[in-house]
Amino acid sequence: MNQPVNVEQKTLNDILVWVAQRGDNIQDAPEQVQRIQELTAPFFKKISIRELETMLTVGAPRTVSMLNKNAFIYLPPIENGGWLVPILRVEYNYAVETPELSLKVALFLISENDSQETLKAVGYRFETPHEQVRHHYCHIQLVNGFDRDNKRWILPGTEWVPTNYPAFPIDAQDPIELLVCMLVSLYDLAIIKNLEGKFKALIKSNIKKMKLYGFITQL
Amino acid sequence: MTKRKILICDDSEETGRAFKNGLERIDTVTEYFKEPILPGKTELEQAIKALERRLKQASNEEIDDYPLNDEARIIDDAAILVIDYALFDLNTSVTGERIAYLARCYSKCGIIIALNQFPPYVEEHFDLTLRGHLESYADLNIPSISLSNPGLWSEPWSGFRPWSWPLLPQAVDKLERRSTELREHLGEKVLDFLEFKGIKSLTLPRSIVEFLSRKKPEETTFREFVDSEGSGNGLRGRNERPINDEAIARIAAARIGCWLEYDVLPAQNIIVDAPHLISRFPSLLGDRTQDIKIWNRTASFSEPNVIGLDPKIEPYRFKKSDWLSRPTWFWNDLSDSEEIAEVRDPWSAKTPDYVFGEDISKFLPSDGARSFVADLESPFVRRYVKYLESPISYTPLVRFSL
Repeated sequence: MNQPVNVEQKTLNDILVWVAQRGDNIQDAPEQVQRIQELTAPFFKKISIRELETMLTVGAPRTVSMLNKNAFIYLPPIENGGWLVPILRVEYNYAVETPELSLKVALFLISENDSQETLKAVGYRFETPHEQVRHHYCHIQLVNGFDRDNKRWILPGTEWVPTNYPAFPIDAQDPIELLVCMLVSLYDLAIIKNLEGKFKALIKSNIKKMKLYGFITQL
Repeated sequence: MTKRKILICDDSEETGRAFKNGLERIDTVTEYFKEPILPGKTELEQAIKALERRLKQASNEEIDDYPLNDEARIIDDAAILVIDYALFDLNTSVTGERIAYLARCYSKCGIIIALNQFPPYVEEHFDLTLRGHLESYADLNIPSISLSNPGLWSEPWSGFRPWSWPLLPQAVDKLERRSTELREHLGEKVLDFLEFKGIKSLTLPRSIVEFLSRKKPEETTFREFVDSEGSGNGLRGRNERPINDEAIARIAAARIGCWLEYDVLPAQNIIVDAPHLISRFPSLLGDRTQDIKIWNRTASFSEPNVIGLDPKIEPYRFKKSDWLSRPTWFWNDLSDSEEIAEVRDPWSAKTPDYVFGEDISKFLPSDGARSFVADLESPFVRRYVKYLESPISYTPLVRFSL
């Protein structure tokens, strides 16, 4: 039987829904963002807000695997000369003593050469400590797909990348801090201000402990 | 074959006659339908009053069928009812939409076509929102000039022909068949009956299911949908009642058919039709993907075996084919099938050279098309039109990509 969802898991779910909502408005998005979504959505199914809420809450599941459902969160696009669309796959397990979280995020872009458009992507995974000795700390690694064992989930235009090393350590102690690190890496420290407005208790209990928070107070 | 009736309701005899003449120039109309009927003003006024009387009788009296030979019988007999929206010269205060409501809920008529109800009214136009007009009780809302467009009546077509239009003779038959079928299923849940519930991991967006019920859409039966205290999209007036189960079946068959056609299908991410499906997975066409004629075979209202898609997608087909004007498939499950080459290996496929022109219901080379952003809750909002010359107008222009 499922145990009741604890506060930390609920907060994690709430942040995921919040960030998915911010990436949901495709109609007013720049044309390049719409084009990227048009090319990726047939293969990496964009989960709707209602589907995400259902997946995270109905039956109070302690574990979530988005890949099993071919469901991905389309995060808010990033402008960096051209546009990048981050697509996120989430897996977590709160049924174990030390909760585990894996966030695989790929940044998609369109490059144009001789008026020929090509979809490209680069991917990262943000993970809580692995049980084995190797990578027993919160870390980030490169990935070449949302699941390296199945061609279906491989990213477009990806040459060989080192998927095991380096595993960069990051300023996170638990799944929520890991998620915050991922968001900061994509949207800069400004995202913490937005989180502060929405999740006051979270800031108090988690983010203020992070070294990152020191930087935001200096801004 | 018994020819069916078309009834044209207009307050101007001259305008009504012009509509009739336009229809009589179309071979399919003369082949499948009798000479269109143009009731006189008095006859039309009496028919409308009879419909209002039926509403009161059904709601207030213990009767189980309409009076024999009342003046609304001409509406009952219409396989296609054409109503102009503005009826200023009639001696009643009703609009075309009110007649559409009364005809849908208190007559036995078939397909209802409302003319000139929505801006830019009489002008021939293409709606770039792709949203349709689900709030209307007409099954189709078009400007009057489109009524005599042959592409609305038969295949093949050329020139302007929005993909959202049904094929009218087929639509008449389909509505009749699903009304008959539903009489035995009024107590069933709508989404179960339509087999949406069997679809893996499908949660319909709130903006879509709220049409069925404002409380528990997933649990709503056809009978509850029609009830005046139900969805608000069947019977609308407070304390209004349907005359009998046959009426409930007709209302549900028409309104839920419109919901599927104008609310569920346009997003192309819950169910998907053939042209939008092959735009994503061209391998379903087989080897001849360079030939635009092969692509255009899919832009059709024919059965799936005629349009030439790979039969391996048959398990994902939306089987209630009378409920939609064209063949469709459940996108969620289909897009997860590793039998499809693009699903197994998404990035080796070449981007197609053709895009689907929503305004001409045909494929065209991508460099000859103009893209726009439809007003839909879907990742597939970028669509294409050929963008025909004047006098066709495209609205709202702001939806064209910059």
